[in-house]
Amino acid sequence: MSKSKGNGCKIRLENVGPLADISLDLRDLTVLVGPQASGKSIFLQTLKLALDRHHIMAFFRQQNMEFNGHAAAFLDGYYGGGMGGMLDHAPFVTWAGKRSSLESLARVKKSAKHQAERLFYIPAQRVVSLPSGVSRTFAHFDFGDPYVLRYFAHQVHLLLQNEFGALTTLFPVPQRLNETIRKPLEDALFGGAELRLEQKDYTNVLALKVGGLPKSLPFLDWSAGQREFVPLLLGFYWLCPAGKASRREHIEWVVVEEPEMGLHPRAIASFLLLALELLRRGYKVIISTHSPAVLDLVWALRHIQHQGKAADVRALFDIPAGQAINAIAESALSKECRVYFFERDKPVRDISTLDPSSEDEAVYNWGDLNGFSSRSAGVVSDIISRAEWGDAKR
Amino acid sequence: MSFQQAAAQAKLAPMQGKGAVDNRHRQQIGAGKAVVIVGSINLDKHFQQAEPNANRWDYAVGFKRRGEFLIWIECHPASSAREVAAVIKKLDWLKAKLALPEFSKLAGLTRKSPGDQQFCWLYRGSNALRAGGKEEKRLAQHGMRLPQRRLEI
Repeated sequence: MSKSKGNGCKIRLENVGPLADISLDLRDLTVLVGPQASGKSIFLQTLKLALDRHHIMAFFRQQNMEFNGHAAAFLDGYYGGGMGGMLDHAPFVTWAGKRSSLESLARVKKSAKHQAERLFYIPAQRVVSLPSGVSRTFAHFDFGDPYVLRYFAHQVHLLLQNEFGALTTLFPVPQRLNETIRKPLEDALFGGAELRLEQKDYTNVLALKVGGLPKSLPFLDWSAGQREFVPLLLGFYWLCPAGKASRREHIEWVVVEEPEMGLHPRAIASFLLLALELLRRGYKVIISTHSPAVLDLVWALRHIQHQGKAADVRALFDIPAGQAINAIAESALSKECRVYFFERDKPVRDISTLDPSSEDEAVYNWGDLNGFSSRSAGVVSDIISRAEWGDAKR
Repeated sequence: MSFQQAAAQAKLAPMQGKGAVDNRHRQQIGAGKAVVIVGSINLDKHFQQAEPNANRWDYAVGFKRRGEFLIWIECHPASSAREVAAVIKKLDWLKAKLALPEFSKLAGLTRKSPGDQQFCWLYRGSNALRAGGKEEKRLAQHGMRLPQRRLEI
């Protein structure tokens, strides 16, 4: 593996879609920020391909999809329709110190040894995995829908129809997630409601049981944030199995795209606690986000690691001392974080310091996540100044 | 009206250039090509005896750029969000001074100031105040920006 100094892994992409030549050093917690269409998802999907191509190909085969060595067709099926055209630009991926053409990654021999999956991907479009609260298999999607979405939906389907098939309540349940993590989710996301699995037309359907209402609320009556969060929660359930095993041993990496979708900042904070729990369980976590709250966590962690203590992590989440939160906090103190800023047609930049004193706008404005907020403060400052001291030539 | 005249009205004794600014802060204040720093006042020192417990503002710096103007500078740590409240108290103290009749000429120069800020917070060391945070908004509501390491007049 391409180990960099510390606990990181280096990856380089050349001519992969909009990404001309980028290098990232992935650490325990890596956060990607940047505007839409700046290449974050293509980067993450390519990382998944570099790590799991044998597993991906085997799964396609299991679903009766055979590409017969046609790399462009495979890439159309993996990234989405039309993406096979990327091969015209000679794309390369360097991972674990080995530079490979994307074309070679997309051609896997039938005889290739089966490999366990190493990266679990929770995609941005995850809500599509549960239309009307019913799970979908890989085959329910169309060719050209991204593999990471289809595969995630399939895993959620297996959870709901098999592993959880005998349960009626999915949240809150004491066997899944410690109360320290569960309680903030109950407060911020569900407001005391129960997430249930109910039978309808011989199918398991998700529903919310709200106290005082005779019937459960169907999926489309939930808040947008609840609909977005439940697939994410199910992904976490998959990663944090019940029983003695604290994690899926073969999974090293977890990607979560845009965890903040539809969520109030309090709920985002609850998610961030879940992310720290994943780190504690030994996963490396990569988050792509448009929420400054995620960077708030990284910024605070940097300071806590430098001059603070575990109690400061608890204070960050406003949780009193306890065995579970202490373990999460202690583990967070030792985790390395990186933040990368993706911009269209520009090299990806490491803005990990997030230093407000930096001369570099990308750093002090946190990849422009604070840009508008800061401009609004500038405008208000000018207005107040003008009102008090006159309209000079400013 | 000159910076010297305005300072004289307020019975303040300006020094030439950045002379009134402590050595450790001088290099944080620069002047552009078309700007000449004509004088400076150390308010903190001037009012130290008369108002020992007040939250006193640090400096006024007068400069020439197609006319004579001034900027008020406070050199203060930015290592904690708590410092915002301290600087706002100092600004309130300064504004109370500028409302006095003997400070009317200094207030007049402040109103004419052509820069993008009349009151500037300079810091050394670490900065705990991030862009977009509530402290930036709080300062904005008092007509101030986030602290800077360096000011180029």
